[in-house]
Amino acid sequence: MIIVVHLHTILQQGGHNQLEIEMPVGSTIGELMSLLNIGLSLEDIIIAVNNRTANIDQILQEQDVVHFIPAISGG
Amino acid sequence: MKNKSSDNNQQLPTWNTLVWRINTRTKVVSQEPVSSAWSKLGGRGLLARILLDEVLPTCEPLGASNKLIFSPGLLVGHMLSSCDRISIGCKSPLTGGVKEANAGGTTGLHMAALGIKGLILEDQPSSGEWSVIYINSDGVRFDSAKDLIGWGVYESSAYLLERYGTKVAIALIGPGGEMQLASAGIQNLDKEGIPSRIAARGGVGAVMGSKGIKAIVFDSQGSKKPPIAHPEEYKQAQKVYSKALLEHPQTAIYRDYGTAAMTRISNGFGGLPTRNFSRGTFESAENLSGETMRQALLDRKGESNPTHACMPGCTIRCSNIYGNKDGKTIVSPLEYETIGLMGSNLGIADLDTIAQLNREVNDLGLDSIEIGAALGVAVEGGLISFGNGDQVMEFLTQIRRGSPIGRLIGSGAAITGKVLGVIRVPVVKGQAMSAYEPRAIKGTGVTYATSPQGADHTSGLTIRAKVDHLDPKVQVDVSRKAQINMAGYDTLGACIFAGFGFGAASETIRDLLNARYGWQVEADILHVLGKETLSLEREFNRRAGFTSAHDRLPEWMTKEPLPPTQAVFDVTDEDLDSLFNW
Repeated sequence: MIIVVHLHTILQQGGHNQLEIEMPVGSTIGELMSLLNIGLSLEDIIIAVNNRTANIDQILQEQDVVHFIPAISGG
Repeated sequence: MKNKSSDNNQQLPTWNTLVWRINTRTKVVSQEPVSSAWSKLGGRGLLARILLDEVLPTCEPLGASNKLIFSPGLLVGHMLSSCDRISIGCKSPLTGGVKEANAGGTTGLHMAALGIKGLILEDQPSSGEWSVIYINSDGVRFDSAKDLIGWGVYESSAYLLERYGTKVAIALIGPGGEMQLASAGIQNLDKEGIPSRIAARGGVGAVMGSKGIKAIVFDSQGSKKPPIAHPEEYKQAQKVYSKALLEHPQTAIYRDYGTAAMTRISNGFGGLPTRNFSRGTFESAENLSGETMRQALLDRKGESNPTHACMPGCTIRCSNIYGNKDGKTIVSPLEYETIGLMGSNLGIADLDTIAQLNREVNDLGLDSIEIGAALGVAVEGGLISFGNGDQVMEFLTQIRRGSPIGRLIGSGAAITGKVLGVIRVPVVKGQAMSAYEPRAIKGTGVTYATSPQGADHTSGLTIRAKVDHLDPKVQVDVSRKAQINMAGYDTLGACIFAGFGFGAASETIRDLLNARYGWQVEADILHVLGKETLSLEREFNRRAGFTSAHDRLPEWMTKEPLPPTQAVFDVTDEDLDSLFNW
């Protein structure tokens, strides 16, 4: 299945902040993080899937849009 | 208490922390020792205390009974990283309630060096009389400002820096404040002398204009920093805090991407205000992102810089200098809130356009959040189209001219909506919401509803909390914690972003205060200050006529689903009313 991934700020890879990733059906967010080598601890990251807060155990669906956000900025 | 008329410079007592009063009608200046009720407060907390003690909550905000108060926070004065902010407050002509507007830049530092605990501007002169107040260690002087009236902020501050020298701090208003528009703020210089650190919200600039003051020049040359009771302990605590701040991963993200990094985050949660708060995602959010901005500024070089400190000694450096394709500065800073309210909220998809609009709004001395929200409402009212930067610029020109349509927009989103017959107006207590859609980030919606400041994200942003932002049942706790913390930081003079350092080393707040002042406060001092500040503010508002009916989001946001999440604001009234139970 295809997952659309948005990588924020310091998580960008090679200048790309939006990727499409192929993953086996039934994969979790945690497995996606490992695949992408996102090394931040859970404290230092916020995850959204389809505009909702998600945790690493969540099972992904086809065409899910996932945001990996390190810490948080804004003002 | 000494009373002095101030036609000439006055001799002041040797350096000491004092409350200074200036009567803007008689020009009488006095300095008072700080009373015990005021001594353990600063910044926003001190403003709330003084307003409650001295300003009739039912007074006319643009009249003689209102007071405009400048108060540096408790930690201001030693270039402790990110802790030299200035609080400026009054009864707000926009909300009718208590108002604290907060800015970085250099005003706080100079006031602290002059030993000014609080500067209270009282009364008002006959109309047409305009002054520049000049303050140095010798005293206070009223200089004529008639040359400057009608001038934009950038030209005025350049003139003032030539007149008074470049080593001063300046707080000034633009044409917006001169016209007493409810969206007018007070600009302050950054450490390079650029006049764009604005105390923006709630019309503090209008109140300064109502007192006939174009600018206040703070000249602390020759003054020493405020004394520290226990210098060794202070140094130790400062070290721990500074290390925690520098090591926090968020500091590096702010340094490199600034507040604009929030665009993709709020968009990711379906909470980026788009086209007058009609949806929570913008199809061009990528164009407005911190990532895009950073790359553009690095490519453009010249004066552009994605990293910039507004206060001397700040190690976060979240600000930026936004340059055009030739590397010439358009505006500094370009911040997330303006990108939201004057970008996605108006369907404008291009940072260069937003930067130019931002510069114009700065020059007028106006709150870009309030103006952006008013313009979004004006689109629904049929005056303007989405996605048209030229039209927006034309409206800003109308504001500068003081035309009726300019005054309409300049009076803010609530009035614009009333006049144009628009219901979909994003305000609470008359003040416009900022760039967090309350239906998608419900905790921030709770803050908008309940903050004594009106719809104000800086008083309690919740997007950082690890909660489901759409679940109405968990938001009050999140907002309460955030509001208490923010009120505390605002009383310390700490930038919100300093909170990352203090969060990781929370005992340093106690240690820094005890070392600086010789106090013996406990580890919970941030919350003590925050709760006291909020209680004082709530009491002022209560006496001004506010009830729980005012602690609500607009009805349409409880009914109209917001695409793409289809959320409505559904935190119950009971829950909202429980926020201040502690």
